[in-house]
Amino acid sequence: MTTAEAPEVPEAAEAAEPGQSHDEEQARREAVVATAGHIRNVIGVLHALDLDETPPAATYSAAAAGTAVAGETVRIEEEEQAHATV
Amino acid sequence: MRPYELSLAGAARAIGTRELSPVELTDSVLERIEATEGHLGAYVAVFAESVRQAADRAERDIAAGRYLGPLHGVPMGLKDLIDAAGVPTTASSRVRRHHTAAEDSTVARRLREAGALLLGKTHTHEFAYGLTTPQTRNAWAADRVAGGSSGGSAVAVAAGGATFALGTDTGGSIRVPSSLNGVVGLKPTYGLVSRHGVTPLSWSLDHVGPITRTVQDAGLVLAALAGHDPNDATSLNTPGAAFAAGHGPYGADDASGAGGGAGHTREDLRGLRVGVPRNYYFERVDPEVEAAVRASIDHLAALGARLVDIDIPMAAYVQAVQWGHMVPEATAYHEKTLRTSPELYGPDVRLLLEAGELLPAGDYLRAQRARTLMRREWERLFEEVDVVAAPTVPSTAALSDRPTVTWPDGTEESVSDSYVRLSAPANITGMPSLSLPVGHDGVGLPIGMQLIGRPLGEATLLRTGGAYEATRGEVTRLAPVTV
Repeated sequence: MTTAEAPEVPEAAEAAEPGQSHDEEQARREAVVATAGHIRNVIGVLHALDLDETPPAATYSAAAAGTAVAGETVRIEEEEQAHATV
Repeated sequence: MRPYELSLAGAARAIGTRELSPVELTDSVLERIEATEGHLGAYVAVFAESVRQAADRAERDIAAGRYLGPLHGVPMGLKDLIDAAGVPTTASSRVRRHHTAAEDSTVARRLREAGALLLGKTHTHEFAYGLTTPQTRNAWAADRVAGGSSGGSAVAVAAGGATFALGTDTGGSIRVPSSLNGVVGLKPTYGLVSRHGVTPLSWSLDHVGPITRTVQDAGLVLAALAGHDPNDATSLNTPGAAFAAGHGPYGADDASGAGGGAGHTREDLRGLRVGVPRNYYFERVDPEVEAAVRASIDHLAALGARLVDIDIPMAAYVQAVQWGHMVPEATAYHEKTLRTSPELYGPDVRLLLEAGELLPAGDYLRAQRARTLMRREWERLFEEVDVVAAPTVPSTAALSDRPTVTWPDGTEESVSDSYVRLSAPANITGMPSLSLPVGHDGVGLPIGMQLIGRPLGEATLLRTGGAYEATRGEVTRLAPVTV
């Protein structure tokens, strides 16, 4: 499926509301489809990536390693020692 | 200086030495809200009676020697996505018009246990799904956007209507309004601060964090908020998490603000490697914003930091990965209400939520896989540097009636897209990002710089921002609200 194809409009977007004219509802639905198309075009650039065997980041954790701060502290201390010996 | 003008650290010092009582501080802030709220629209609700009662209790507890720490007796606001027991969480939406929170969110409970006083609930862009917060005016210029989605929190803090506040950040929603209103905003590492009891926009991108007047204040609030929460499945439970929030400069053990870290003085940044992006972060950026941020980076170098030119990885895919997660996750959360009462949403939010129903699962998975790659590349980047310094947003607060910005190269961009553009990488990677004020443009609007760190690198960000703050002092200026 390409990003240019318009997907089916689901139930929520199809339901006309009381007090809303057919034209207004039609215009709203067209706006929803156009917005979805725009979003899909933006996301579509990801097709250019070679994802190979890359898994999804579904169970996401930013800090799996958990060693970030300590690393910098060690390096700063090393630099301080270097300053001290100059 | 009037009490409402005090920073959190300043108020804490005055309360701790009995120079100021929580009742005096709370009354001063409530008077400030009374004077400015009609002009700013920062609050959904102000709980004047209950906060005065809480201030009175805090005053008596402190007098009796039961001092809880730097947040004790300090009035604050909660973004109205964050549950506080017994009061509505409206999400600034008609959808939530009958809602009442049964219990405190974890962050509300932790602030209450630290002695902070709930002033009220602040406006958000509806369900946090937008970058302007149209109910609220910019604290520096009434005809400009507040930024969002935590616009109410940022404006309240900037105007003196709260000593500090909490916001949430899915694509920049703490940092963007903080930058546009001249205050400090900290988006912590993903999982460092619990989201239990906080209405989600996008589970895998959402963060909760402080909005304050100073970097030091941000550290004090973070120390109260952070820590493992078994009620939040994404909450971190590592020793590094405790270190990031509870120790080092401006952490819980440094309420005096006198800390240095690793033997340094507060202003000494020797040994720190600051990454200066060659691409992405300075593209399509207002010249005044670029000049202010580059001057601030030079100032970090003058404090001893070593500047390192860096290339931002996978920059062409930031918006795709951000939208590929946020849009389907937001729609999934609202699926039921979207079916039963779609007319209760504002038109802009409804449009996005319904559009999200048209996205195939393959797009979502592709975005997730790209996110894995992006995170790896950013982790490699942080082998070369300790902090990345960049503009928070590419321009200052836009006029409220101007939905797009035209860049010198002729390209047109929606204001919201431009605001998210530079913030989103830290949401995608989950890395912490601190926005702090670094100057003003030609018409006096605030400019913000963000410092991005590696996961659990909050102490480094606070140290770096704190050194800037201690030597440049831009951040203590309240917005000159005309009332």
